[in-house]
Amino acid sequence: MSATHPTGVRNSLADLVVDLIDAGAAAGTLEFQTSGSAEVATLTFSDPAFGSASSAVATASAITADSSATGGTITKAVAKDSNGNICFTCTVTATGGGGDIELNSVVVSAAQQVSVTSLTYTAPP
Amino acid sequence: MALTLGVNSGFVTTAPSADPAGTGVTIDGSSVVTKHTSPANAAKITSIGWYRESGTNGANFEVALYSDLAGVPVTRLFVDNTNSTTSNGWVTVAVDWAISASTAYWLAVQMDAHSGSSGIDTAASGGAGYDAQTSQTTLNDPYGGGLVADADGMAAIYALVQLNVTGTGAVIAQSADAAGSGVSKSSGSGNVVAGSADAAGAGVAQWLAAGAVSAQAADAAGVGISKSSGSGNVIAGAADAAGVGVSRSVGGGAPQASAAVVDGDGITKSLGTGAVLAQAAAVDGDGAVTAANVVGSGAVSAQAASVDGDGAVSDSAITGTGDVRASASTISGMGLVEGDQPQSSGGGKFRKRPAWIVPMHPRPYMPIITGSGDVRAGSASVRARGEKKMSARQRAFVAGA
Repeated sequence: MSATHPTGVRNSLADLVVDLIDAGAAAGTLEFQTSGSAEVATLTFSDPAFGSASSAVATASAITADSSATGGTITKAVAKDSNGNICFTCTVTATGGGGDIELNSVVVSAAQQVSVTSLTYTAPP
Repeated sequence: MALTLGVNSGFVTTAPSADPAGTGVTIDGSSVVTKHTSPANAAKITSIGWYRESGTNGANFEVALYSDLAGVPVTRLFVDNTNSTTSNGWVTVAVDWAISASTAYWLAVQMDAHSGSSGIDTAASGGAGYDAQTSQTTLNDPYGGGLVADADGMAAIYALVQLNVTGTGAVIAQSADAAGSGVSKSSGSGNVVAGSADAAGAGVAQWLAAGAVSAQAADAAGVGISKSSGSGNVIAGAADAAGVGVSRSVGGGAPQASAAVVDGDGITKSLGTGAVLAQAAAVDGDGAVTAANVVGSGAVSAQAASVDGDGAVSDSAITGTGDVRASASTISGMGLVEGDQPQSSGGGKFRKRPAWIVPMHPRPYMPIITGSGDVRAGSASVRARGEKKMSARQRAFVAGA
């Protein structure tokens, strides 16, 4: 069977991860990338990026949209601190595709606005 | 195909190409507007198109976007007023007009009067509003005209809209691996440390390639070991696949263990080439480590022995015809007198040896002086029994001649 953690530990795990986004001097970013890791759009987290976890779930504060995306086809998103250190990577799909983040379109044109209206991080069970 | 809002009339996300097969009305010398509500997340209009169902005159035409007020076009928000084409079918104009999402707008086309005639496709139902004004030389601001001609009509005018990309996320961290549950597992190179189960079972970190593995729990084969199939070192304090209480290296690594054994005989055993160190027990029940039990080339050291479950060195390991020497009190304490021949036993064999008093010999030990034995043990015990009334267990040294 797999290892499990009590809720208090899971909260600590979630906080540990999402707090890494705040490690740099400035706000962290949520960078959408192509399968080849090329930047498509970069959104900016609040600073701090997430509130304290509850029931193993940390919820992001407001994320500032990228009003002028580089463009490309998104397959993943990478949460980074302002120094570029990666905190976590997650999948991105079109709505209904089952990705960690679902967008109404993963095909982004240059200068298109890209936003995420809500984001949560759930710690391992 | 029919004229349809969101497909070939109003706001669309994909430009139509087919003939909408609507009803043609005169566009030259007139203005035509059609209403639609922009989609959620709409950001801007990148192109305006209208279906010129007839006419090839290259007269100027204008396209524009009007605001809506109570179902009537009012303010001209954007206009592109210098365009011309001699083609019919879908006629397009590239624009870059920022709009609001989920907002009602009127799309407009006006074409200057010209010789011959040009028409635009329309439909009398299925739309959100349609109006036309004749004798127009431009798209006015405000639009004017009062109530619209058809509240559910529409014209074949589309606005290709670009949506903002938006979404939501729920990132869920997982602990299980592809094979099952609760482990980090590497098929490549690197160190793996895990405290939970792997694909094969419960509670182990398993290393399939080269590298060091540390674990305190069970492996695929059984209980309590970390196991390396590669060349890494394995350190464990518990049992291995073969039995109990040993770490075992299948590769070339050096196993180290402070406990028990393979084959149930109190020794660590190496299947590879590593050196085996053990502080207990032996092999084959005879208090010795036999060469046969060293499968590899490693050195085997043992400091103690136990025999047959009776705490004695078996006679088969004692060769020759030696005697037994002890202090007078030891001899006396066993009910013997010097010259008696107590019987030592072991391995089901019995041997009589004369007992001799050695002054100042430490009690209670009784060294058995063998003829040519080469078995040495620092704490081996011997059950010695006299012919008449010896029944006490005594300690003895066994030493080579």
